[in-house]
This record gives sequence, C-alpha cells and structure tokens, in this order.
Amino acid sequence: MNRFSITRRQALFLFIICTISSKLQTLPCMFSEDVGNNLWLVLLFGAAIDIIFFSLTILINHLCPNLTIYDLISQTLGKVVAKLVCFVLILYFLFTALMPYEAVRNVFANNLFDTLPWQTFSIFLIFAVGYLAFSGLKTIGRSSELYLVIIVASVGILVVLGAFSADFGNILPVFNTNFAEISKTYVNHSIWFGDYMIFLCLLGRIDTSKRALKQIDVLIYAWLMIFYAFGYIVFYCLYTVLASSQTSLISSISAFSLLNLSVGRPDWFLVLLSQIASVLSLSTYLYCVSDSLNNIFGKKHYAICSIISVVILYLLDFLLFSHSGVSYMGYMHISGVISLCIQLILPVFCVFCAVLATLKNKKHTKERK
Amino acid sequence: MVFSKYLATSWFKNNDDVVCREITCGAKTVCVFFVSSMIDKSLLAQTVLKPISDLKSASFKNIKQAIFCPEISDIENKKDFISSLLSGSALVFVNNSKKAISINLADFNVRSITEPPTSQVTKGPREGFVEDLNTNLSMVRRRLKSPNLAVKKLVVGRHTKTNVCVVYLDNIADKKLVKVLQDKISKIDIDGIIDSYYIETILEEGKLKFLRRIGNSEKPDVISSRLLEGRIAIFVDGSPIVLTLPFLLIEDLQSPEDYYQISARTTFLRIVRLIGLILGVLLPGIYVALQSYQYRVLPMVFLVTLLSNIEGISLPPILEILFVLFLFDILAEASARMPKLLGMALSIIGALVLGETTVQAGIISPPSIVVVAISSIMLFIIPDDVPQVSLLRILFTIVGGVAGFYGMLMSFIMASTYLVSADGYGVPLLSPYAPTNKIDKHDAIIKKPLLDLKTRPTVFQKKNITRIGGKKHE
Repeated sequence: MNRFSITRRQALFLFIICTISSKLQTLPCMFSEDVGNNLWLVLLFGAAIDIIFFSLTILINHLCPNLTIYDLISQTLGKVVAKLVCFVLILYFLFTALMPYEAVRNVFANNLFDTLPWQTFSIFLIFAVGYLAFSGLKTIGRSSELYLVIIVASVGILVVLGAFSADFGNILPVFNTNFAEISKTYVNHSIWFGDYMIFLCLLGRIDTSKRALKQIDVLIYAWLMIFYAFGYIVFYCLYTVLASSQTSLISSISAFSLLNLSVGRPDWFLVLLSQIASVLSLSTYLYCVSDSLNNIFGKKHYAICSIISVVILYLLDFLLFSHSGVSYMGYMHISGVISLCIQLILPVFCVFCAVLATLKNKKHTKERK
Repeated sequence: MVFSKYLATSWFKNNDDVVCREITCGAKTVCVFFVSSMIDKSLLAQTVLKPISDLKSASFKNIKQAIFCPEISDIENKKDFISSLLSGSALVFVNNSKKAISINLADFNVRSITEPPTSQVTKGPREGFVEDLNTNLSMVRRRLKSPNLAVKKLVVGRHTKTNVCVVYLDNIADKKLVKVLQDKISKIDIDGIIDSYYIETILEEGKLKFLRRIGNSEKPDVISSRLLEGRIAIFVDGSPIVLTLPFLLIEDLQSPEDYYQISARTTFLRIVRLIGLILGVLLPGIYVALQSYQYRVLPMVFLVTLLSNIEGISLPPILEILFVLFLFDILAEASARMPKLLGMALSIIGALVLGETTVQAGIISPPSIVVVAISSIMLFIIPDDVPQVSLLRILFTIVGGVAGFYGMLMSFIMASTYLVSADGYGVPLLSPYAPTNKIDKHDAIIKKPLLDLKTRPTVFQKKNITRIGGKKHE
C-alpha cells in the first residue's frame, strides 16, 4: 500500500469522522436560528438527499472500480475536462474546509481564549493539519483508525450527558414549519452536507481486492444521521431559543450536566478530544485539494501541492473573515448555493463518464474478440 | 627467517603479550603463537604443547592429529592469522611453512549470568544476557532447540573486528528482511563497534530519528519469544543488549512478566501503563494550561485550594514547572551516577533541602512538586526505558504554557501523526492499532490467554503464522 492509498475500513472511519465534524459543530446552532425546533428535520432532509447521491457514488465505483475521478474523466472526455473538474473540486473542498476551520476557531476562541489573536494561534492548527495532509492519505487513514473510538466515545458521552438534563417537551410541536422553510434552510447551509464528495475524491485510492464502496455504507450513513438528529433534539431541548446563540453543539451540549455536582467542567476534556474530528476532516479536505492540484500539475508534486493548499486555506480565512469582514453567515449563504450545485451535478456527471467508460471497455473487448 | 618469527617481529612488535613458543621436534621447529592474555594457558599446555613435544617427527598432518582441541582449522592468509590470533586462538606453524593450524583456546573473563537490572521480574526466568556472544547464543539455543534457528555470523569494525550475529528462525522469519539486514550490517564501514547501540543507530531508518525503530532486550526468554513471533535478533559481542526487529511501539508497554501471569491482570497492567505514559507526558503541560488559561475547567473547591497554594509564587506557572522538571532531572542524573553510599545523602538533599526550602522560600509551589512527582512516577511504570518521553514532557509543558489546551491538542495530533506515519523496516510502528490488525490485537493492550494466541503476529509476515495446532506447518 503506497502513501496515497487507504484501506476500505480507514476510508469509512474517515467518512464517519468527517460527518461528526460537519454535522455536530456549528450547523445545529444555525439551523435553530432558521427553523427553531425543526432543526433535526432539516438534517434528515439533507441526509436523504445525500443518501441518493451517495448511492450514485457507489454506482460509479461499481462501474469503474479502480479509477480515480481524474482518470475516469480524462479517459472518457479528455484531460482538459478532467483538469477542469479538478479545479472545481479544489474550490469545493477549499470552501468546505473553511467550515471546520472556523468551527475549531469558534470552540477555542469563544469558549477558552476570549482575547486570543486567532491569526497567530491558528498557525498551530495550520501546522497540525498541514503536517497530516503532507504526510499523505495513508497517514490520515491510519490516524482515523487511531482516533475514531476516542472521538465517537467523546461525542457519545457528551450527547448522553446532555440528554440527562434535557427537557424533551421543548421539541414540541413537531412539523410546525412548512417544507419550503426546511428546504430553504438546507440550501443555505448545504456546504455542511455532501459528505459523499470525500468518497468521490477517494475513489481509486481505496486499497481493496473487492469493491471499495458497498451499499451497507449508505446504511451506516443513515444510522449516523439518526444519531445526529437525536443530538440535535437534545441540543434544542437544552437551549430552546438560545440554541442559535451557541457556537457549537459539542461544546454546549453537556454544559448543564455536571453543574449540580459543582465539579467545574471536566467534560471539556471530552470536547477537546472531539475536536480531533475537525482536524482530521480538515486534513482530509486539504488532501483532496492537494490531490486535485497534483492532478492538474501532472501528478508529480504532491508535497508542494499540499503546502500550497495549506497556505491558501490560511490566507482564505484571513482574507475572508478577518480582513474583508465577510460575515460567516453571509459566506455560508453564497457558498451554500455554489456547493449545492457541485454536490448535485458532479456525481451525475461522473456517472455519465463511468457509463461511457464501461461502454468503451465493452467495445474494446468486442473488437479484440 | 622462520615465517612465524617474522610475524612476531613485524606485525606484533609492540605487543608484549604476544608469545611465540618454539618446540623442536626432530629436525623441525614448531612454533606456537598466541596472545597470552586471551587464552586458557593450562588448556594450551595440556592439549597443544605437550602432544606436540611428544611427537617424534613433526609434520602438519601429525600435529593436527595430535592436538586434542575441538575447534581446529587450517589457515593460510595473513588476515586470518591476525584475526584468529586476536580472537583467542593459538597458531601452530611448522618450520618455514606459511600455513598454520588455528586452535581456538579463547578464555576471556566473563561476567556471570545475573538478572538484568533493567528488567527485573517477580515471576518468570531471571537470566540475563552477558557480554560474551557465545554465552548469549547458548542461552537462546537452550530455549529453541530447533535446527531452524539460524545464526549468521558477520564481522564488523576495522579495528574491533566485532562479531555480530543475525539470529532468526528460518521457517518463520521474513527472508527478505534477513537479507536486507545482513547486507546492511556487512556494509558497515566503521572503525569499531563497542556496543549493540552502534549497530542500532546504524540500522535505524527514517530521516528524523526521534523514535527508535529497533527493539532490544537483555533477557533470553524475551528474545526467544520474539524469535518465535518471526522477528530477527542481532547479537553483538561485548554487549548484553540484543536487538530485535521489526519493532512495534506497543512493545514498550509490554513487560516480560506479562506472559507469566493471568491475562486479565496483564491487560489491566497494560492499560495502567498506557494511561501512565500519556498522563506522565501530558500532566505538567495540563497543569500549566489549567493554571494559565483554562482554570474554569477546574471544580470551584479545587480551584480555591490551588489558588491558596500558589499565592505568592513569583515565577509564572510555565517557568515554575520547567524549573521543577529541571530539578528532578538533575536529581535523577545525580542519583544514577553517585556511589550507592552517598544515595541517602542525595535523597535528604533532594527531598528536604531542595524540596521543602524552595517551597518555603516561595520559589515553587507544593502543587507543582506534586504534579512533577506524579508525572515522573507514571513514566517509571513503563517497563522499557523510553528516553523520548521526558523530552516530550518538556515540549508539552512549554506548549501548554504558550497556547493552553488548544496548543497541546494540536501538538498531540502532530506527535501522533509522526508516530502513525512511521514505519520500521516496512512495519508500521503503531500496528496493530494504526493500521488496525485484528489478529495482532490479541496481544497488544488487551492480552488474550495463551491458548487463544493461536497465530503469530501477522504484521511481520503472512506465511507460517500458526502457533497452536500447527505442527504440520513446522
């Protein structure tokens, strides 16, 4: 197994970690601002759409098992189109990476370092993420194996701790909002969805004798979303209207659980451990950016590409949020629509290419015969 | 001039312990050539000198038949003359012949076999390796009475001519790795190999050599079991430490005693060691971060107690802890070097004079001493000496003081990334956890009972992995 391939198990773990990072940080706070107690419905709605497109990703893998997206498109439509798609992927993953990057900032800066200059201290994060991305997909995959249990256990305990102090009556009445509201909220925050895009980018990199993706993965995703929906309900039941003013579900959900015991906030250690998910997901996104950059520049300069992608991420954060004063929400609404288009169009486009490639292969085989 | 005389006067003219004993047998002169400080003289007299002097006619063949020694060979090149002479052999020359009979009579003073001070056990074998290569090999041979136990001898060092043995089980170990190691060792160009650490350093892979990628042990039972797992051992003459590879980081948490007690107890102890290792490294940093930034995490009652104890301390938390760590390292280093008789005096100076008076003087606070003491004790529960952890402890303390939990978390991730990405001779150091290996997890943190360990670790090689019930494979 080389530096740029991972096992099926590692890919699945990475995917789970990325969903934790994308769904359980800032997203529920923003959902509650838009739809109040129906935040979990938006999650399930988005998850349903993701499941459809996740199935398409699996279909691509089944049609062309060992091909990367770049190879698939360059074989069917030529290198120019493949490089164009890589460029789109770079944009997509860079803008997606900004989300967990900001989430980490929110957790640490708002809850621990009130007066800390983030631009200086984010260098620690950039180094950690950059080092992971630079080390390659194999290291990211192995790290996911090492940390999955810790992350899942931390998040699980935090949600359970929160559930003990939640008043579940606060979630009622259910379905008191219309579908348009839910779909609008989903579109505005769709940048947090589309986790299957990681798999799309990892296709051809998953080292397995059989198929890299299986239908059971969709089921795992569905179960995860049900657990997250429960987390959202607990979160809303704890904070109700104040849920929208929180910065992160993970850091807020267990805040009241231990107050009666007057033991401070030892649950913060769990919050801290759960932040590893953000770092790992960030490094995965950056790997996808570096890999796409590498494809554009001829598959020879991965190390340089990873350094470039880290620097771009740092500068993007600095220019967008610190320097030009673009609001986080504003950014999300604009990037949400763009990312939704990419999430919906790219898998369909890749299915088209996969079908073309399969037909080509069949034709070649017939001609040989 | 007789050739042997020429040897003595030209090559060994400055060596007064090189002796050339001449015996006249009829018309011929037999010259017995040896280094007096390296051989068993009584054995020489009985098995070589007397039989030769009893001979009526001295021919090469006659002498060879007359000598009673088991290790005897013919040599005729200059290099071999010198090396066998300096390895404790006596050389017998007949007249002006340029051919010699080499008789191994080596007798070096060897330390007796004792329990190694670095890995003492309450249960299990107490033997430890010594500095003599043959004694060490015999201890392993006694445990592994198999014709498959291969011993490949190599000589390294321009001046030391140190014997280095690559030992492995031929039907289990990875042959490619054996070849790689033999090639690497035979290509070593160095003036001398004094200890196995020299070989360890040379064989280390990777640019950033912060982590060791080669295991070691002083115990023959440990080496034997590692050989049975498919590892390769490297014995170095003059060193009681035997190297083994491939190496897994989990080995640092495993004690020889783990295999001589119930598996549940072993598992518990390994978990304790792991927690001890992590906390030992992170605790000073956590304390500094808590005091400097994240004091809100602490329970109110505890916070009040802490504040009352640190009141009046002039040093900032980070400097205070670094000072205590520095003090601890000085004491540890001094106690290691100091004669045993002075140990008591050092304890009094360390505990009473330095500890109490610095607290009373307001230089350091009692909690910081407690934190460093707990951290140090935790690091000592690791069975193997891992020098990297004390350096990591200082690093995490500095990071905790500069950037609190956030910085510590990021540094922790970077350190783990380094660990995760590190391979030693094709084997991931963090195996069986990253990457996951289900079979090998049976004897990692959790140890299953002996009868459940049906296979050898598969990370070293995939062939011949059956351990229990695999007679037909052997």
